[in-house]
Amino acid sequence: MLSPEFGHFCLVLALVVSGAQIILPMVGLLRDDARLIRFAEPLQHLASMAIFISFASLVYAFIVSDFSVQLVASHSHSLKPMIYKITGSWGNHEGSLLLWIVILGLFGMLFVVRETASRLKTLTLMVMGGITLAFLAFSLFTSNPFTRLSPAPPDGRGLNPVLQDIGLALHPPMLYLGYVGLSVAFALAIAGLITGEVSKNWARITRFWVVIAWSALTAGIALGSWWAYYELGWGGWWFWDPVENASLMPWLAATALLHSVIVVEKRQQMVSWTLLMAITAFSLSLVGTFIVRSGLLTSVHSFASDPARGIFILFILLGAVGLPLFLYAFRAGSLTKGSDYALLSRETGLIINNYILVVSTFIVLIGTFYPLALELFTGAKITVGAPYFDATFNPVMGIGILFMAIGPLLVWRRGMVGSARPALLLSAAVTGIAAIILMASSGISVAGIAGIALTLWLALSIGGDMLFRLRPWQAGMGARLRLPATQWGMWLAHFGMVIFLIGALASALFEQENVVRVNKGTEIALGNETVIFDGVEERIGPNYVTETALLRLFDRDGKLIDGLYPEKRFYPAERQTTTEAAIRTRLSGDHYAVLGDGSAESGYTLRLYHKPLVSWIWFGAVMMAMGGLVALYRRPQRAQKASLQAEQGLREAE
Amino acid sequence: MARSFTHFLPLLLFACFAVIASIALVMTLSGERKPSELPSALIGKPVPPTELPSLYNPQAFVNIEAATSQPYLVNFFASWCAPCRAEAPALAILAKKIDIIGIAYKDKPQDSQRFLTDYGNPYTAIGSDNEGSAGLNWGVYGVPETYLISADGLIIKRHAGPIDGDILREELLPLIRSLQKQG
Amino acid sequence: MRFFQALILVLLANISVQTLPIPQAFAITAEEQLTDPALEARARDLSKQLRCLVCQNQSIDDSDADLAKDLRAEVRKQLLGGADDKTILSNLQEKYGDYVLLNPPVSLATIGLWATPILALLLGGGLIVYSRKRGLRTPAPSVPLPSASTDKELASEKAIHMRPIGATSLAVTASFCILIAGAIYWFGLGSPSLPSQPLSQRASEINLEARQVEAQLAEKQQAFAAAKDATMGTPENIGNWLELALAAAELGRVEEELNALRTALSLTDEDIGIKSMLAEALTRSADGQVIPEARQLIAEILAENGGEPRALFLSGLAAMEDGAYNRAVDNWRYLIEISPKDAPWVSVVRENLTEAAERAGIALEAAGIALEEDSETSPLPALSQESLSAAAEMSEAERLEMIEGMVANLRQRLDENPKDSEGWQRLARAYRVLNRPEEALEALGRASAAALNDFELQLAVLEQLMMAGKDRDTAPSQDKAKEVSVANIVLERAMALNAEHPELLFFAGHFARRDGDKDKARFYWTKLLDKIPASSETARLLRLELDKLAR
Repeated sequence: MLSPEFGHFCLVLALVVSGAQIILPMVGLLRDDARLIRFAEPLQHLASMAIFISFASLVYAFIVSDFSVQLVASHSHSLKPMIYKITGSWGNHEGSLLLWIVILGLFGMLFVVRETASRLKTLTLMVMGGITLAFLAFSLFTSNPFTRLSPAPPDGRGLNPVLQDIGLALHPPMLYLGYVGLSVAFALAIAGLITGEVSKNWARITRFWVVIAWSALTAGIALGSWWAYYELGWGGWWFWDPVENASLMPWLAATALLHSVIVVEKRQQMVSWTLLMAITAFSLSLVGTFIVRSGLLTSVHSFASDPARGIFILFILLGAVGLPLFLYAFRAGSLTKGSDYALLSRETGLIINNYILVVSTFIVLIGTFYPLALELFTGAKITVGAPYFDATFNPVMGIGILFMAIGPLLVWRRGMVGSARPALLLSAAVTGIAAIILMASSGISVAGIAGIALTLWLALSIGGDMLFRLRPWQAGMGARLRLPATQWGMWLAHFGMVIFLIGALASALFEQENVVRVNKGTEIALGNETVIFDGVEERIGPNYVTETALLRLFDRDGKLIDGLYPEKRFYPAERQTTTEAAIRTRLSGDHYAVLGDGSAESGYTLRLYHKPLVSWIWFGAVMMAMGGLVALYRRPQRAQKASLQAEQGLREAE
Repeated sequence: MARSFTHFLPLLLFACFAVIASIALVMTLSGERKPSELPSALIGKPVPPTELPSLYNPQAFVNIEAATSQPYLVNFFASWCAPCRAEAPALAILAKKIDIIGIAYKDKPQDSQRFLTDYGNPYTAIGSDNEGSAGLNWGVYGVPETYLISADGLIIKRHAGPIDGDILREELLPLIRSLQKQG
Repeated sequence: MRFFQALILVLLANISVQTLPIPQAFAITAEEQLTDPALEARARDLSKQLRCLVCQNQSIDDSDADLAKDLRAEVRKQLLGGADDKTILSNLQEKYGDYVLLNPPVSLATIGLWATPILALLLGGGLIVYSRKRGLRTPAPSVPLPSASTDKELASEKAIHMRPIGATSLAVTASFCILIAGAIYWFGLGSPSLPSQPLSQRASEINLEARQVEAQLAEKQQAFAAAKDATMGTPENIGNWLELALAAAELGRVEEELNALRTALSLTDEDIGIKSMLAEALTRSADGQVIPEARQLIAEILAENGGEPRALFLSGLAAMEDGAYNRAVDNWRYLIEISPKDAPWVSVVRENLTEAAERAGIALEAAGIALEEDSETSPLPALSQESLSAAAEMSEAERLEMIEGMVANLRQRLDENPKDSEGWQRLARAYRVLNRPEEALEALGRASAAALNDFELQLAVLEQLMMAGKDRDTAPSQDKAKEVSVANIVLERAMALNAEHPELLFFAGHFARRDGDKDKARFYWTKLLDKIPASSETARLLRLELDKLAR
């Protein structure tokens, strides 16, 4: 049943079905023939099912090690653990592209199931059919995962130890869930532009899909960052690399979209802007794909070996971004409405939020592509690295956080939540005093103090907001707790940002590092702790030999806390050496040890870190993602009424 | 409401991006743009003063100075560098046309000497840059690298990587010819 | 290094898993650090601002590339010398360009980069104020505050009016068409006849293979043990040692094989056969590199017997290693010529020859152009590298057919445009690859005739003639005579243009010697010797040759 050829057939079938998914409803809409229009939904289901079967048969081929499939032969091996056989099916260009399409199909199917039939839905499905069609064609014609080998080789070639890693296996699907999820909002925006009706209902539908995608994207980026942290072994978690930027840009745009779509839902303002953001967010994720797979910016490992791929994806990009923007240019005017809110209002707050996020997206975009453009026009090569982004992106984000503390305290149309003023004043005062004390008494840089102050300011204002809204000192808090889920989600996500900032700041400002050459018995000071090196032991792993350093970690009172065992592994079959950092993760911070070259005679090089609170970075990111999901929770009708009453009560109290 | 210019802005921005990306992609695919190639910062500047012990006679020194009567090449090589072997035939051809000064980069003298016996010695003089300090001064980022220097001591061109037939024919020889005609 | 290397790793996995850079965690080592903590802190800070030029967007602080190490050392050296941070950065910038700075300096080229964030910030702010003012002038219809119910709205948008589906047949037809279209497409794209072949079902096939391999191994081991015993018993028997060497080779025990061969060799009086086996074993032991000891052996063997196949083959390999592709071609061509058609090594040699010829094609072309650099670019297409590499992937017959086709094509065009000397030379080269010496000679004659006044071209023709001659050292004498007669014509033409040219003198001597006219050869080469530096390598070789001529 799940033979590779059947999978291949299903993939081709999906291509044809996706084509029909555009054409039949289009003819139906033009000729006002409901029979044809109705085809959109079953066709989406059919395409999705075909894609699922196709992917399942690819995974199956990996599971049973069917080396007559070229992809399996070159990326799998009979001796691989089963889990990596499975994850190996998307651990390569062709397979990951198919996974991308699978997620596209998944979103299409869920969209059909969740939304009620309307013209908007039909048009959205047509656009999604178009995207699916383009990517299926890309897969089938330039990166076919089902190319066969005959005769089949006795075993596969893919046993690279570096690729056998669970972090590596999990973060692409998560990231794709985010990238592809944005396509729903994209399709909805195009449908909205075509119909010219962008209603409250449109916004409600769009917000759901945007939040799902945004949460997945947040988690995906966090997973990737975490992988780099524990696997690459020098303790960093973000490097402003073009490929990282490619994932950050859609995230920033999606964050902007997430906020602006609320304005559309509640107030019917920022309509055309929101459409633009929806188009931009998905376009940027396509740009990211383009960067990674065309070999333009990650030049050392060029994909140029197959020119068709780069050209194909460029054409997808031109069509998928150019056409909608063209449509936008001509249709957006008719969707713009006048504004009816005061300067001090929730609307203004969200506009500032969008403005900051878009400017920072733009900075990342410029920083990523400027070297390329400059090289083309002048031949000069420059590098735009972390210092540039520290100097431009960080300050802009700082301004953003400044406003992030105030925005949620504003109410629609005009004014502030009554209780906001005392909360803000209090947090401003505390922040100011704290900054002055730090300035006077610590050696932290100005930028560092600014970061700490901003984090404190944000934390205090969120805390103050919660405190004054819930008023735990007054009776009847139970009713007040029943605030709408969106409020709780917002608090959670914003507080996740605080946690993230604390982790990022603490690990950057208070990191302890020590690079030393050690012999057996050497004591190494690491901040308050001491590490004793007890020599290196040779061990034998399942398919590697390893030199394991034995380290004991003592606290300041000389009490043994834990052992650290960084390794240097050698895989004889592949003739590869990898380093495995030893990381002791605690909420208070990570101890991180890496073993370098050396021998018992000359001593070993050791690199030790203590990174305070570093894991908070990823906790924060997870909280943000959770916040998004919480905001989607919809209470049963009755409870919903109660929560609205609670909100009403709040408003009256002001 | 009427169409406004601001709504065309995104399309305009994207068009710029698309044009740049298309040109870059086409150039990369056609091989015209080599993403891994770096232009030298020293183009058009005088050669960095270099004095190195001679490979075959460590008491003597090889000097690379500004003023010579003829254009010449400076070639950084090493016995441990595989591409250096690949460019040996091209260097042999070049040696018929122009003086080549070799610099053995981060290489033990005896290894360099054996390399030259095995693969031919196209150089008029060879300096031994054991520490790689000359390499740093010239901005070398990987051997082999070849610099073309005009008669008045300016660096005209740097080629990083082995010289193959195309580079020889289409880049180096025409440049050398025109320089020699000027001289 | 970057965290999304994960993604890159994933995406590149299909390109070259084996050559992927392994994330190497170790950059700075303990020894590199300065003892003064303040200076060291500055060094670390500077390192974070400098790019490792050979890495992907990595600072020299993070990279363990050699260059990064050198740069770190340089930074520290300058720090110790008392330079300030700015000077150090600008020193490196001077040598490596702006590219080395992770923080691009503000200049005319980067003005866009630095101004854009500020402009975007200002422009965005301006746009907000502008649109707000404009918006306020045209007040929007007041929208009520969010209320509990939007059901009405929902209802209004819910479902456009749809006619009931009457035509099931339409759906059936459409689905049917889709299926058919998919199937047709798939028949073109897929491999419908290939069943799935999970590893478990191939167990018998693979097991059988494994058992056969095991049995063979056991057999080989037995043979090895037996041979070893034999040598123990009668250590003076050369045959036993050779047996042992063979058995060791079968098992891949190179050290023992070498040992056995060396012993065998010591028992004989420099036997060529054993020597060649030893040379081969040495080459195998060095992963296919012809190491100096092997080269020495090969030279000895060929000096004694120029037709020893193993030595000829290895000599070709050595030439390939040195990049002397022409010499490799010559060697292997000769080897194939003298080998019986059904000799077991012929196919291997042929494969190697194809590759060498391809590479020689490039090298020859480069050489050709270098000599003809003043001639106009040729209007004729070359036998391009691409088509030749395409040829490498075909079967032998197909490949020959394709080359023949190209050659015929070239020939036809040259007949139409006989003035293209370079084209004729290319044709001659192709004929040589195809082992058609007669035609090659003829083409060379035409090449010479096509460029009567071009000295460089005549030289190039002579060079080709010389190589063509080397192809056929064993050829019947009338061939040689023809070669020399063509050469003499070309020599005359060239002499008329520049009789004193060293290269020409060399060729004149060479062809005179081939003609058997030793005096004439001596005359030209003595003359040449005066013209070149006495200490040069060429002069030394020339003197050697002259000595030989004198004998």
